[in-house]
Parts: sequence; C-alpha cells; structure tokens
Amino acid sequence: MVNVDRSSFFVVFNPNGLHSIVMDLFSLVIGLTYLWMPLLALWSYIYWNDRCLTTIPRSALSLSPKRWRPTDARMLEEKLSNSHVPIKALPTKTGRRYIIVGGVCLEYMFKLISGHLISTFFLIGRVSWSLDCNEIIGAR
Amino acid sequence: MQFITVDITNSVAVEAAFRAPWTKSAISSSSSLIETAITVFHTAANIRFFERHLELFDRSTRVNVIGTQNVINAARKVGVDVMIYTSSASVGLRNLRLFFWPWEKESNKLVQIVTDDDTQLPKRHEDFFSNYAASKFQAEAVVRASDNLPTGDTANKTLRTGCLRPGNAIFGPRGDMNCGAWLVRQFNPTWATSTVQSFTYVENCVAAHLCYEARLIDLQAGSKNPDIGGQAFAISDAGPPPTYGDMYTIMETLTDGQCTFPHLSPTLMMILAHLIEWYYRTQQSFVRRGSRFASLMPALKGDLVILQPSIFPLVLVHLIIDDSRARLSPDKGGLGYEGSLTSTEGLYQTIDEYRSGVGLSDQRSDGAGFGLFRFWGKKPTKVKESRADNLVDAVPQFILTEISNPP
Repeated sequence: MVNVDRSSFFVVFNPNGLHSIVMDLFSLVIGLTYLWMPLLALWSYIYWNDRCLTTIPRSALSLSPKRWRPTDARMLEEKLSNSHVPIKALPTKTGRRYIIVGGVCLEYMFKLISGHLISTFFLIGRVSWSLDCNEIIGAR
Repeated sequence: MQFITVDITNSVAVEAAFRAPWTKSAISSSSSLIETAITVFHTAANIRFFERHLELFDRSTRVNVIGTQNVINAARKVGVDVMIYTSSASVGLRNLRLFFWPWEKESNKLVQIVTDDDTQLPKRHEDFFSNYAASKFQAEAVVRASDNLPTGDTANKTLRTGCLRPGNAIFGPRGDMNCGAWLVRQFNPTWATSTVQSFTYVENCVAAHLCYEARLIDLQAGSKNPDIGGQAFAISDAGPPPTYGDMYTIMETLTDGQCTFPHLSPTLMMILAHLIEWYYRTQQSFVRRGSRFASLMPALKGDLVILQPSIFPLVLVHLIIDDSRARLSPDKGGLGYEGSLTSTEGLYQTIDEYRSGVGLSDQRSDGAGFGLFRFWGKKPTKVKESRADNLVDAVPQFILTEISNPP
C-alpha cells in the first residue's frame, strides 16, 4: 500500500488551479490565432494559388509531353557540337535593295531581328562579300 | 551599307532617311530592270510590356503606331513595293486574372492557342496583356490597311505588305532579351519554370521574314498563288514547345552551373508587382500634372519598373503558337515557312555562340528583359573573346541597321 499525501497532491493538482492554467493556455492560443490567422490565411492562399499557377494543365502537357533533364542537354550538345543546323528553304538573291528599319542598340528595341537579317543576307548571297563593306548590293 | 539614325516619330526625318541617295555600288550592282524594287523590313518597336493602362498608352503608340505610319508614308513616297512588319504573337495573348478564387482549380484561359484567326484576338484595350500588345495590334492594322495602296510615282505600282507574329519569346545570340540575357546575368530568379510556351529562334524568324517577302515578290510578278498580302502570320519554332524549365535545365547544364534559376513564388511576386504598379502610376500621375508631390516620389529605375502585373500573363500563360498556316505551301495560301530549328537546338546555338565570345558584353541582353535581382547574383563571368573579335573584323556592319527609334 503506497501512502499518498493527499494534501500535497491537491496543492499541485488543484482542480481550480488546473482549470486556471488550461484557461490561460487556451487564451494564449486564441490570441496567437487571432494574431497569426491573417498571415496563415495569406500563406495558405499563396501556397494554393502557386499550385494552380505552376501545375501544367493536361491540355498543355499533351502538346508538350517531354521534360528535359541534364542528360538530355548533354546529348543535345553531343549531337550539335560539330554541326550548325541549317535553315531550310531560305530564298536566295533577289537583286532588290533593302531598307531595314529598327534595331539600334537602345533599350527595348528589336536589334536582334534586324541584326540577324543583315547577317543572313551575307550568308545567302544577297550581299556580296567581294565588295567593300560600306558598299553593299541593295543595302542602304 | 549606310547607317542612318533618325527619330522614327519624326515623319520629315524618316522620309529624308528613305530619300537618302543609294551608294554607287548599290546602284551599279542592281539589275537595271528592277533597280527601283525596294523591300522594307520594319522591325522597330518600343517594347514597354510592363505598362497596361490607357493613361500610359501614348508611350507605346508613339513609336509602334505613329512610327509605323511614318515608315509606310516614307516607303510609299520612294516607291517601296514590299514591306514586312515584325509584329508579335503576344497580340493574341488574352489578359486574365491570375489570382484564383479558392473554388477555381485553374482558369480556362491559362492555356491559350494563338492562331491566325483574327476573330479570336482581343478586342478591348484591357483584354490585351499590355500596352505593347495593344499598340502592336494597332500597328498591324496600319500595315495591313496599306496593302495594295499606290506607291512611288509610277502608275499602277502598288505596295504589298504583311505582318509576322513571332513568339512568344524571340531569342538568339547578339541582343536577345530572354535566353541571351539569362546567359549574361547568370543568376535568374524565376517564377515561370512550369510554363509551356512556344519560342521563336531568331534564325527561324529571319527565315519567315524572307519567305513572306518572297511570296509578295511573287505576287508582284503576277503569281497565281492565293493573295496573302495584308495578312498576319503567327510563327514559331519547329517541334513541340518546351517549358521555361526545360530551357533552364539546358542552360544550367551546358554552362556547368554558371547560370542558375532559383524559383520564386509567382503569387507573392504578383502582390509585390501590384504595389509597384500603384507606386509607378501614382508617381507618373503626379509628374504629368506637375504636382509638387512628384518630387517626394523618386522615379522607379532599372528592373523594378519591369516588375508590374502585365508581365505575369506573359510568362505564366501556357501560350502555344499554331503556325501551321505559315507552314503551308505558297499554292495553298501559306508562306512556305520551314522554320526547321527546334527551340532547344536554337538554345544550344545561342549558348555555343555565347561561350565562344559572340554574345558577351551585349548591352541589350544585359540591360533589358526580366533581369530582376541582378544585384543579388554573381557578376557575369567574362568569356574568351577570340571568336567575337574575328566576327567583328569579318563583318564590321554586323550590328548596323538603318533607322533607329528615338531614345
């Protein structure tokens, strides 16, 4: 038979004192919840909306089924490292003159296309390599 | 080759540039029969994709619409008979709400297919994703309405025009605002990894320009093919479209980890973007009205301006371009376009040129596009310059083009 000092037991676990501690903790949780609820809701919404935005829909996946991995990139490099893939069906010389509008290296300009148009003219012979670079067939 | 710099919004200056005398060799080398035949490729644009409100629309239309009208007027005065205008596939991108309600799984508009069907294009200003797309659409209308108008002094001579809508992103070495810019910056925080989008490699884009020109020349010469003057054709690369994440994987791998693409929350960035847009519009409004509060609000500079809500549809919508009509043969009403490179092949060539030195120190790549958080990342590594030097020596007019936009 174990002797239990009932008086000290009820001092530590006084039902009234326990009730008070529980109520205090409960109040604390409620207070913290009120404080964090908007942030928690915002975080939950951001997480959920991100999932909507970053999940590839089936209709898009059906048009783009393959995902690239690093090994695929290395294979691509191996395949193309010694060859420039040619563009098919480029029209050749026309005997015309050309004015290309746009493309000086300013902010937000279409430099890319105009620059490549001119270099393509060289490749397909619309501009003669034999001429002086400042005097090129048809190009103003 | 001449290189003339004028303000494209100045009609007098543009016409003077078009009337500038041709070089002697240009005249002597051209065939005497067709020496007056001139083609114009109009690629100039002001790409203010970050603005979407009407009060800022004139900033886009000044170059994109008025400038295009000036180019057409000048072209007709000097007798140009073929003109190709570089538009954008983003004219077909419909704006949409990207903050979803909790009961929505996904927006139906999150996957969009761009075709050549004009009835599917946005009609109202707010339906375009930004002022840029709306202004390009207006410019297209100007170009298309100019088809078959008289040109030059000769009777019965007409101007044939056409528009190309490459997209969604055009990329390639030497001045690219997307992949080339990512190579230059190396540290590229992103929220578009999962987005499927059609790309257009610049060599494919150039091929499409030359195809459309060839078709219009054929028509001028009396071809019996269907008349495709005054139309707009969407174009993109061959093969299935990749995701941005696919492009990132290739870049990370082939640059041995120099390029990195840490992921950011798109929703969090959209919230931030709306705050930035509120500040931007308020500050611009004060400046326009000459308010004394304008001095209290410093103007946004650099990449922060770009982080506004309109870029989110541009990079988060799965935009698939259907260029099947452009790929039809000329006798079936197509361009005969065979853009044969896939986007990943084009990306390899972009990386290869960059690694060999051609793409380094590119001001446009470094200064435009989605270059957010540049201060955060590593400084771009210098790459060897030998091939770049060789190329510039061999082709001194490599970066020269003709008529520029105003600063």
